[in-house]
Amino acid sequence: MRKIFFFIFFSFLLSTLLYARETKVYGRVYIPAVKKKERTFRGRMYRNRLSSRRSGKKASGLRRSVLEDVIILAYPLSFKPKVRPLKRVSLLQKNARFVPRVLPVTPGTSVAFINLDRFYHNVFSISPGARFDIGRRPTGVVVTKTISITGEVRLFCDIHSQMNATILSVNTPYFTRANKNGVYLLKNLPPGKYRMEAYHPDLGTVSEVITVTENSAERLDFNLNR
Amino acid sequence: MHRSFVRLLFICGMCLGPLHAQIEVSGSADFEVATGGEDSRFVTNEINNEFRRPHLSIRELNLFLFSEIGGDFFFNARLQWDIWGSGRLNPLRITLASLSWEPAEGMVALSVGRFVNPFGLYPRRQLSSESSFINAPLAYGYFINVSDTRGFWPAAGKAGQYGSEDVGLTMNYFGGYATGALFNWVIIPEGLDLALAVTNAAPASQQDYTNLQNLGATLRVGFQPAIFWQQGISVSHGSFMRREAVNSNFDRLEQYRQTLLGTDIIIAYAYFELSGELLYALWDVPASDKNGFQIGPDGNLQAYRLSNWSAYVDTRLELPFLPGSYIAGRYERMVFDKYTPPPGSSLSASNPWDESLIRYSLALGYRLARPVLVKFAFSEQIYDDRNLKRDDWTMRLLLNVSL
Repeated sequence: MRKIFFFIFFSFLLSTLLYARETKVYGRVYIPAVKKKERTFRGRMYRNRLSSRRSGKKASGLRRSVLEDVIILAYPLSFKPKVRPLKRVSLLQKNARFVPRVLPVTPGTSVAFINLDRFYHNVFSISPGARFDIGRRPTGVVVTKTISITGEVRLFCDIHSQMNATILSVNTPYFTRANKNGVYLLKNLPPGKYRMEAYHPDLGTVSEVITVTENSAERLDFNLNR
Repeated sequence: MHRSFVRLLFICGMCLGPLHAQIEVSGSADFEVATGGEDSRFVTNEINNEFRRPHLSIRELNLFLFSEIGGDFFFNARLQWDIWGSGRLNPLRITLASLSWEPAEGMVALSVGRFVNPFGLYPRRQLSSESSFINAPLAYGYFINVSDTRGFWPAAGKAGQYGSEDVGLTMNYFGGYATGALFNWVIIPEGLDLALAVTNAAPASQQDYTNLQNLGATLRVGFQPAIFWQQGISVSHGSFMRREAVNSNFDRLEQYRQTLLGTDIIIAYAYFELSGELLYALWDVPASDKNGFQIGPDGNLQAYRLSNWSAYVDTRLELPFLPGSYIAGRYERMVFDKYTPPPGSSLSASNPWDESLIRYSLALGYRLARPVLVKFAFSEQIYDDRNLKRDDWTMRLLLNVSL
């Protein structure tokens, strides 16, 4: 009984100390009134009628916020971080769209492409240094590709011209995604100087330099409306 | 009424669009270097004889407009500037202008105006960014001895230019559009769908204006027996003749009709796709020779029943070691059946009623960037009549930019 008491006490003490050392950068992302970038209109008239608009409605992004496509990155300027490939990363094709539309990874990460629709999908990229085409794949088939370059890898589906996604390969282990309201939180950043970036595939990047100190919570808002 | 319906719809759509929603605009441009054999003609191989030597041209410029007018209503339009027919830029045309109602949670849709012809496969793949080849299939691009002013006319297409002379019709309109009302019903998503169109004419008609005496109906049933297999069956029936000075002495031209039956298929797996269409046409037509219409003993126009069929098979292989590239081959056949001429017909020598032929095509494509596609295509035609040594091969290099 005594041992259990000490175990709980020290666990509590340790977590309190760790929490006290935690650094946070948080804030909000503002973007302009969103223009649809997906070229759905040509496909609507020329598409195969086997698909109803019911699936297209989900695909048109009405239930998703474009703010979720914003990735917040922290590049350390005062030290060199150890960047390891991520594990178990997947990009889904569901309701004729890529989920997520922006996927942040680190170089060397293997991304599994999974078709969850009842029809064929293809994934191809013609980005320099990352050209690949995995061909048509039926439901459930998983194909893995390793992203070795740094930067944007633009993905498309040869069968559904409105589908597009971006793999953002970055040389930092510190990144997060904004939520549907545009709010983000980056935790456990080692103290130091950082170049903070907000990235959106259609709106570009804005950056700012901040210094993170121990036990601090920095607020940094980004405005992609420029 | 000449084209007024489509123009009116286009103007209404453009006016309604900004009231509720933004108008989305995109475009595409096709630049082409083309050459063909000495006997090249637009009506047989889509290269005007005047431009059979290697030449650079703007093949097509397109402006696409789309607007969510509000709720479940949409407006689509395509403004097209091309060199069809003469080889020179034609006036700007509104080739697509439709108002659609598509409820978000529904399985049905209704469109009125000028829309993509639901018959067959090619109309949905007509944009050069979507098709592997550059030429249209024979059923859509080869003009036959049936005219929409003279009926069966063996001289159709023997001389003259598309646009200025009577060169006959294609089995199905090469432009890929129809004017009227279209009902779509997705009965089983990714399994079974139905499209029913009531149009101003049969699919062969090239006219985009409304002639209420001419009516046509098209039904297409599409189904997907397996994920790798899509099949369509199309049926169409309608009038297609139009009034001109040459036929002004005759009434009830709408009684002459085209019946078109077709099936289309797509079989695909991994980097390979096989697709094709089979079309069979029945033509109930009057007939003309160099002296004018054939008149029967009763003083009425003599009626002819003609038939022909055409099929093409496309195979396309994307090269996995060269992403963005493909190689494609097409085999096509068009056959004209023999017919029974009425007694005293002066056209008995033209039996079958046109030249049957085979066309082989090869195409290579490479996507330089997402919006930039380069295609090279070669085609050769061989006629069943071995004495007919038409030199009408084609070679084309096309640059497509779609934004």
